Amino acid sequence: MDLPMAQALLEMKTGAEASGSTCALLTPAIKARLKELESGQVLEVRVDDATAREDIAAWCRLSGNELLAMVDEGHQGLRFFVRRK
Amino acid sequence: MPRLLVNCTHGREDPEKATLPFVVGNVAASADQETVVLLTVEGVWNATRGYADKVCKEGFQPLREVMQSFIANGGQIWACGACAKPRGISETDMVPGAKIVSAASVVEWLAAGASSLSF
Repeated sequence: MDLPMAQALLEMKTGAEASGSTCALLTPAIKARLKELESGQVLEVRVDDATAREDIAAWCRLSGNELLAMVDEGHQGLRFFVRRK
Repeated sequence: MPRLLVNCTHGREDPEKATLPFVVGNVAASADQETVVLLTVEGVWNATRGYADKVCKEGFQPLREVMQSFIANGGQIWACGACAKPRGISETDMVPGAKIVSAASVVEWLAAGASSLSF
């Protein structure tokens, strides 16, 4: 699969024991990072918490930013590509 | 724009219940939802200067940091006037971004269609 070209990267590797923190921090961190980009640019998010799958999809639906792709890399975690609205 | 009201009824006596409303509120505000965290009962202390510095539940971001992020993302903090007054809390005690409101303001927010969640 061809992955989108990202202009910025946000990495949040917290470990399973801190999944509560991921829930609290992840989407606000995505918003902050996207604010640094221009409309139409893409942010790659790498995270090791499986709950991010639903969190990021819901956040994109709410905020109007576009989730272009999600890649499950197993033990390596998840990668998301979010295009700023 | 959708409106949310997240009710926080606890302060230091239950740091988890003090922090969770701001966690949810911050996620909502970061998703561009018009969000109010309404502080009632012991929760009104959270809006006073310096109080949140000492509220931290293991596994959570410190309350002060979550509140600051919530405000930075456009969230509003309302402290119940009926709860603040008997505790000797006034506007001058409030952290930046927080204000004391009346019941009518809360009712107006809800009547305008806000969904609510309480901790």
